[in-house]
Amino acid sequence: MSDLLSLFRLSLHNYFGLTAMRIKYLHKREKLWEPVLVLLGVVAGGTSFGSMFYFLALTMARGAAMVGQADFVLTQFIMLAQIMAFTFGLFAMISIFYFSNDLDILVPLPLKAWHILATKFSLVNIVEYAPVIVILMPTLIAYNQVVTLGLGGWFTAAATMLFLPTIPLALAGILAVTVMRGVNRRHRDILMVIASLVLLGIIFYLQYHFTASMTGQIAAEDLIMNRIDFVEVVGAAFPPAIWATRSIAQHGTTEGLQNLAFLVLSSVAAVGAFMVVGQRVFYGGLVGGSEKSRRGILYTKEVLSRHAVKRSALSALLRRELKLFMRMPIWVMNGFLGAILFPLMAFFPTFFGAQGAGLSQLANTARHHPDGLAMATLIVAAAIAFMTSINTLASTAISREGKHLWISKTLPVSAKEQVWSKLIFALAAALPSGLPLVGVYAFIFQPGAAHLITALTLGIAAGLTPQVLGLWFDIWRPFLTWTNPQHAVKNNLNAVSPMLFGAALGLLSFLAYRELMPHGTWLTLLVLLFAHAGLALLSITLLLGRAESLYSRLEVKG
Amino acid sequence: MLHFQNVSKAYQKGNNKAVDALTLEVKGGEIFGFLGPNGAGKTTSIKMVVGLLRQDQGSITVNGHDTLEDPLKAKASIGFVPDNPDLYDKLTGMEYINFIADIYKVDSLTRQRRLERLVNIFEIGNAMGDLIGSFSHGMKQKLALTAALVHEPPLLILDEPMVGLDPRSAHLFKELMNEHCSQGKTVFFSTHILDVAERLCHRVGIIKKGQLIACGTMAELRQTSDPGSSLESIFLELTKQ
Repeated sequence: MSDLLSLFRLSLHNYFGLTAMRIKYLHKREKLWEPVLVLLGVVAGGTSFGSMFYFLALTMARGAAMVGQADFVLTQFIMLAQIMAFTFGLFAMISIFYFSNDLDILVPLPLKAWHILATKFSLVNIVEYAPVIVILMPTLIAYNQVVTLGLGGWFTAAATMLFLPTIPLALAGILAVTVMRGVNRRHRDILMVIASLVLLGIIFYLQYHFTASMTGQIAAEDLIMNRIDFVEVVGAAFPPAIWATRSIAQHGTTEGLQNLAFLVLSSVAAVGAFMVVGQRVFYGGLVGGSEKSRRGILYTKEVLSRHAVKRSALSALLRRELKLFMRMPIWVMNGFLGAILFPLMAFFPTFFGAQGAGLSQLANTARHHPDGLAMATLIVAAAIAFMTSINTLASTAISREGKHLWISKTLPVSAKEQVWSKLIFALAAALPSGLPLVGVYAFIFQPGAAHLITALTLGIAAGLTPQVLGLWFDIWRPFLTWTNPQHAVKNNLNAVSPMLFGAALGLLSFLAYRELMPHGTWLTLLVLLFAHAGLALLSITLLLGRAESLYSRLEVKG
Repeated sequence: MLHFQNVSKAYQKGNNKAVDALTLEVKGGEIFGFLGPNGAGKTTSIKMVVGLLRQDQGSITVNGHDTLEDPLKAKASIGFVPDNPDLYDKLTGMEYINFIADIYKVDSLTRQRRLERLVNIFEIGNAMGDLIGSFSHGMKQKLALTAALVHEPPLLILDEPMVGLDPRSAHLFKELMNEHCSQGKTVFFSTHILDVAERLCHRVGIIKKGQLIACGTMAELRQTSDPGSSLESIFLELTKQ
């Protein structure tokens, strides 16, 4: 057991950089502003997402309470947290088990396989508490406004949240080690892309399932007569969500305790199953990972004449960015698929659910109100700006280079050109996240081209500046000492910097909106558009102007 | 070709002086061996030349270009292989070499001609289509050397270049270094393999605690010690505590 504890302590310090932080901030007392800034970023990011979940949960809880089913809001958001834990957990598991650079050190040590499995599982479990807290804390606060929880309820909720990511992660872990067992390194990348698409499908299905279960398939009469238990219907897809809901909702009762016990015992069983499967196949998968796959091409004169072809430096830099990004599925998931996925998930019910009918009514009202569509345009632009500004590609662009930064630093290419290539690439990947939103807007509200173009350009313009400032921040203090690709993005607090900048800009825009609105909605839209476009242009110009000095103070010491 | 003028670099807010007032001139057509115990300042000196670190004091010029004032021209004159060749695991060997050749503006025909030769010398023709992540340390070292040589730089800077090379590749590489110098170009490399330095280098410099304590040809170094002494014994004598 002491081996396991030592390994866990060491891994915890290494994974989260605790030792490095202790030395830097407590012993040497260097750059003490960094943790303050990071804390501000976390608070801003957490508040943005938290308030979004809070208002959503409050609306749902009040609606559900009217038919005596307030608990349903807990089930819905618990399931959302668990889906997130499974989705991101799968990539995290693959990343930490098969792409970590500490495995070369750990595997030769006289440690049991389950020591390594348990330690790495625990680390991912700890990381997954962040989304669980961001989703469930606002939900619980909203729920508490409808059904008072009391001290016992909050304690039970805390205990429940401790176990919430465990079962999805165990399932993700079993899937990861099983699939990785028989796949060599080259095919793993393709597999990860396929897995991403399959997950996308699963998430859409679940989203559809919830929406359908809430609306079309349940008769209104059943709802009113309280004959259908929403928690049962929605949670049927994943029973632990029911146990978690009831342990909180029925806290202090025998049934509540029973449900908490179900959740805890099933979590322990799931981890046990992961350990059993993991011990059987983990090392096999590792060997598969180090196997060489030969393409069988011998680079002769003839082959070289086809492959060794000159391109411009900018093209070479962009191609490098693209290839390194696309071949690291965890980055694709975090930086691109997530950006497309999130708005689609959020607006999927508008096409298929009852909310769609409500929105159609709203759209109809908007079309008949003189400022209705302009207001809708403003809201859609704000949503696009939000989606663009939370993308992590720009704010981790230098961090993702990690130990390879020496290559960029020694290239005879100006810092301006290197930064420009990173910015182009990050923006090219971040901006499409606005398209689904514009699509939904066009489908539901059927506005004219002027509204659509304004929504898209204003949204993009407003989202650009946080991205540029995020890149600036990452050049200023990159996180280069990550141990696996997942770590580079998800454990990188630079990734929240655009949210911080975005929140500040959002506040300023809101203040400007209040001042401008009395003078007309279109005027408001145009002033905001020009202001954001000007700000984006200014931030890009300043960043490129400062690129040389920022880059030159980046030192590669290790 | 490479000139250090009173260069100093300290870490930990100046408490740890890694390089201390280093002044050194390496001429064109020379193979220069840079020797010293672990932590003496070899890698720090090299990193300052290639732009990975900034010196606190002094200047470094490469091919007449100051590394701080005119870094791009200085870098364009250098081919560099670090002590640990961490290359992009997710690129294939060919993609990486193409990337480097694009950056150094090597035209298609020239790169094809040079690559054909280098790929044959290092026997990496079979692996060029594989992801670098699947390469052994030695293979990565060969690829890093190929990348450093593909633009035929006037100055080749190598930090422990022999580590990981098999005997045949090491032998061929030494021949390449000689050939490079015979064209009037320069090789500046650090090594712990004193036999190689003794046989290959026109001059060697020995650095200890950041200061250059000896520099010259083997004959010049022997003047400070017994006439028939080897580089190893001179090194041990000079670097003992």
